[in-house]
Amino acid sequence: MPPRTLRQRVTDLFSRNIDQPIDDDEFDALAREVFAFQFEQCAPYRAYCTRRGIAPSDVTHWFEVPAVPTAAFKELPLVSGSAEAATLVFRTSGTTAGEERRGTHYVLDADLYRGSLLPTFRAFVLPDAERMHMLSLVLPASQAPHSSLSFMVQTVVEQQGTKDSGWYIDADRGIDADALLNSLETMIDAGRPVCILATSLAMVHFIEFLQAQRRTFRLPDGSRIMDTGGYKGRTRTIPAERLRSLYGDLLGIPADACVNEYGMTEMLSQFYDASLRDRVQGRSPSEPPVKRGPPWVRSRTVDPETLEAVPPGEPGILHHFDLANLFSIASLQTEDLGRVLPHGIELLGRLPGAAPRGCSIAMDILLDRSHE
Amino acid sequence: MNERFDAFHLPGFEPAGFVEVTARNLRIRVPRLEQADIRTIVSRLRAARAALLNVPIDNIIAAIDRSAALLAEDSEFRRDALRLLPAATGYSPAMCEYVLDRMAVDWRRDALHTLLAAELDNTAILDGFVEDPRTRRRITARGPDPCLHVFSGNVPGVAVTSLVRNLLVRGASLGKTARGEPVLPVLFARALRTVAPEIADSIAVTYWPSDQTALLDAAAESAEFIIVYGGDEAVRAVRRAAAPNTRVVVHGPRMSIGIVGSNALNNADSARAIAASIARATATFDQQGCVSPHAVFVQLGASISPRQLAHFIEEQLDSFERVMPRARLSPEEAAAIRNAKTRAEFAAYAGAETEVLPLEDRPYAVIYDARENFEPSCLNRVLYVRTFIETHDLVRILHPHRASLQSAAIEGFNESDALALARTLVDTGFTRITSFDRLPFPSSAWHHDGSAPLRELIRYIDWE
Repeated sequence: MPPRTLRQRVTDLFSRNIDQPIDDDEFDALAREVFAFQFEQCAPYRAYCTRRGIAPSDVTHWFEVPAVPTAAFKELPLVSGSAEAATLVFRTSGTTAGEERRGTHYVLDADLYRGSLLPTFRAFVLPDAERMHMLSLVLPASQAPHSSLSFMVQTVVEQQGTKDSGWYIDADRGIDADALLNSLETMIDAGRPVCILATSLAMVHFIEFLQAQRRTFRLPDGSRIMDTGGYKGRTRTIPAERLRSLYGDLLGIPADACVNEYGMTEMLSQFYDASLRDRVQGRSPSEPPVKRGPPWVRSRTVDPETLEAVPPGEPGILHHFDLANLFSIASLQTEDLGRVLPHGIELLGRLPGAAPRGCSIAMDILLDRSHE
Repeated sequence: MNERFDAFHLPGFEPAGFVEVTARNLRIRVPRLEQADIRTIVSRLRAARAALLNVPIDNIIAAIDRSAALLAEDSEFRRDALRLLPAATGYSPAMCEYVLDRMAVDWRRDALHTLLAAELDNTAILDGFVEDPRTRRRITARGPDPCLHVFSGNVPGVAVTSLVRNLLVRGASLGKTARGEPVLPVLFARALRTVAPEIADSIAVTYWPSDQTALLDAAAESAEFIIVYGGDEAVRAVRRAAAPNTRVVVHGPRMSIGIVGSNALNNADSARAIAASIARATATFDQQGCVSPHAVFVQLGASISPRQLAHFIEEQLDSFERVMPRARLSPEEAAAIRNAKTRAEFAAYAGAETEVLPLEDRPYAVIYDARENFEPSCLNRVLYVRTFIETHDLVRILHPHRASLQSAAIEGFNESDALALARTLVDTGFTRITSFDRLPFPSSAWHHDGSAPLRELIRYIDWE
C-alpha cells in the first residue's frame, strides 16, 4: 500500500468542487508522486518505462510520464500492488472473434472507483436533483460481475436512485421492453421524471421496439437519459445525432438532457456531455459540444503517427492521466481520437480499423439472441 | 496532388459526363455511368469478342507480349505507371518498379506459352472443334463473353494478369478497378491498343465506387463469368449481384506463412541467407499480398536459434528499407502496429518468451513470440517469428485458420522430411508450397487458391 497520505490526498480531491480545476502545480506534484508509486509497485510498468529510459527522477512534468496503451491490459495484470488483492476484476467486452484476449483491469480499492464515479455522475447527470427514479438497461452487477459499467450503474442506482428504481434487462432474456413501457406510463401518470441508464445499443433496440409498436411518449419534464458505448453496433448503426433526435421524438427528452458518457474499463473516472450541467448552471451550450471529466483527470493529445505531443486544441490520440487509477496505471494511451479544448474534450471517434471495444457488442449479441 | 489520370479504357463509348475521385494522392477521372451505359459497354465488348474469335492465338500472344514490353521497357506507358502507381497505391516508387518488373515477366511470350501448355493439352480446342479419340467426341472451348473482373488494390499487376489470362482464352473483359489501384489495367489496355487495337477493343476497364451497387448489378447480370479479388464485403456484394447460374471465382483474403527447418540453421551464413529471403518476401507489397508471410515458424534445436534468426530478419528488413522504403501508413495502420508491439512487449513483462525487434518506431518489426499460437499479422512489414519442435505441432496451431491459408514457404528440410511436411500442409488447407525466394511471385501457371488459371475461365462445348 502507498503511504496512506497519497491515497488520502487523492480521495480528498473527490470532495472538491467539480467545476474548479485543480491548481496546475498541485496536480503535477500529485501526478508525479502517483507515477513514482506505480513505478515502484508495478514491475511491468517499471520495465516499460525503463526500456524507454524514464525513471521518476527524470520526470519534470506529468506530460513526461510514459502512457500505457490500453492494449497492454490484454496481456497481463497492470496493478500497483498485488493482483490477488483485487476486489473487482473488470474485463473489456472483447470482439466476437473470441480469440483476442480481453483487457482486464484489476481494481484493488473499490472505494476509489465509487469515490470518483459518484460526484462526477451527480455533477453531469443529476446537476439539479438529489435522487431520481432510475430505469436501467445495463445489466445488474450480479449478472455482469466483470463489467465496469454494470458496477458503475449499480452504484449510481443504489446511491442516487429512489427505492422504486429498477432493472429492465436480464442476461438471459435481454431487454424487458414491455415492463419498461409500463413503468414509463406509470411515471407519466404520476408526473414524476425518470432517469434512463443504458448503452446506446440497448436504446437502439428499445427505440426499434417503440417504432414497431407505433408508440411515442412525452416523459415528465426533468426526465433524462444517460447512454454510453458509442455506436459501434455490428448489426445496427444510428448516428449519435439521429439517436438524440429519436430520444426527443419518441420519449420527449430534450437534446441537452441526453447525456452521453465516455469511459473505459481501464480507467476509473468518466467523462460526460456537459450539456445538462451547462443548462442547469445557466451557461450557454459549449460549441463544439464537449465532454467533461472531473478535475482529477487531465487529458492531452499526441500525433497518431509519431506519438509526439500536439498543441492543445489540435486533434490527436487522447491520453488521460487519471489520479483515481492510483492502484493500476494512471497514465493511459487510448485508441480514441479527440481534441482537448479549454472547456472539455471533443471526441472525434475511434481510430478506424482498431478493434472496437466497449460493452455494446457483447450486449448486441445478447439482445439479438433475445429477439429470436 | 496535381496529377490527374483518366482511369478508364472504354473503347467506342462516349461518356456523357465525368466524375473525379481521389485515389490516395491521385485524382482520377472516370465516366459517370448508368446501368444502361454498362449494357452499351458490354454489347460493344461482345462485338469485339466476335472479331477476337478469328484472331490466331499466336497473334494474341504477340500483342500481349509487345504491350508487356511497353510496360517493362522504357516507354510513355512505363513512365506513366511509375509516376502514377506510387501516388495511387502509397507504395514507394522503388517498390512499384520492382513489383511491375516482376509481374510483367508473367505477361511475356515465354510465360504465356508456359501457361497455355500447363493448362491445355491441345490449344487448338480454343480455335474450333477437336476430335478427342479417347471419348469419341469433338470438343471446343470458349472464354467468357464477357468476364467481369472485380479487382482489388493491394497488389499492382494482379489485375493485368487477370485480363491477360482472359485474352488467352479469347474472352472479353469488363474490369472494375479498385480505388487503391486504378492505374495499371488501364495503362495495359492502352498499350495494347497501340499494338493491336482490335484486340484491345475486347477489354473495358473503369472504376466506380462500390456503393454504386446498381452498376455492379448491371455488370454482373450481363457477365458470363465473374472473377472477384478482394475482402469479404466485396465478395458478398458480387455474389449478391450475380445471377444464380453465373459462375463466380473468388480470390478472397488469404494468408501465407513460412517454415524453417533446422537444416537451414546450422551456421550463421546460411541463416543470414534465409533471413534475407524472408525479409524480401515480407517487405514485398509491404506484406499486403495473399502470398505475403504473416509468420515464420522456426525449428528449435539447431545451432542458430529462432530468436537469432529473428534478429537476422530484423537486420535484413532494415537493409531492405533503405532500397525499398515502406509506404507511409494511415493513422489506423500505425495504431494497429503499435498495438501488436505493445502486446508483445507486455507479454514479455508477464513472463512470456516474446521480444519486439526493434522496440523503437521503425518501418518494420519482427515480433519473436515463442508461445504456441498463430495470429495474423497487422501487416505493413510486421512479421511474427514463432518456434516449433516437430512439424506435426504446426497442424494443431494452423488448423483453426485453414479456410484462409494459402502459401507455405518451406526451407531447411531434407527431401523426405519436406515431402512429409508438404503432405501435412495439404491437409491443413494450403494450396501452394514454395521457397521464400519464390513466395511473393508465384509461377505464371499458378493454381491460385487451388483453381486452374485458364481452365476456370473456359466453357467447354461437347459434340457427341
